[in-house]
Amino acid sequence: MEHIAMILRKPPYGDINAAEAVRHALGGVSGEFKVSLIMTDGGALLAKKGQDETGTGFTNLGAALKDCIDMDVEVLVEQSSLMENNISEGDIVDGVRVASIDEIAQLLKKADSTMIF
Amino acid sequence: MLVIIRSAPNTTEGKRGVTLAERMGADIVLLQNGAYFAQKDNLENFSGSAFVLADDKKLRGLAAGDLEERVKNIDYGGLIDLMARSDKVLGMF
Repeated sequence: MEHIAMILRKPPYGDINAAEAVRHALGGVSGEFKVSLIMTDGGALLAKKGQDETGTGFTNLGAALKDCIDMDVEVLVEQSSLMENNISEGDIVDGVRVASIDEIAQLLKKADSTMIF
Repeated sequence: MLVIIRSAPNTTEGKRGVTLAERMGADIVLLQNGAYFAQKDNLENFSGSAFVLADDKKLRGLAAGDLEERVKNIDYGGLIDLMARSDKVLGMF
């Protein structure tokens, strides 16, 4: 099975990158690919629990991230990016795994292809 | 493995790309504002091979004296060869 890694570097809701990364992850996993979604830098903010879109008209990307996890996308958030964005490991969406930069580097080496958002 | 860096040294993207390249044991090619990484001391912790696109360096007025000697100049043809020779290309950061 082909393995696609997707790196999200941008925070949600500010531009389309986070929404596109989640959409591509869902598309990939339903298309019979193994998908790893890796959140680094501002992308770590997507992992934050408690996102509430009521009254905004936005799609709740926290819920969409949960959908990814439910559909067996491997969802990782880079440890130092969490700290840089003041998010504690207890305050992230259930099912998101905290990973070190070394673990992420090894994963990228093994992935067949990588997309960057 | 080759990582393409197009963001400046003072950006999160640029630092992320160089860090990942270092951890993966990959080489880097510096394009656009990534050319500023070729300046002295910007690649202190990077142990792989580094290449810079000569046009982007010249455009930004980066003189030979400002640059790390180990960063090799390439032209567009050289960039294509580098990418073709690499088993995997990751970018752009």
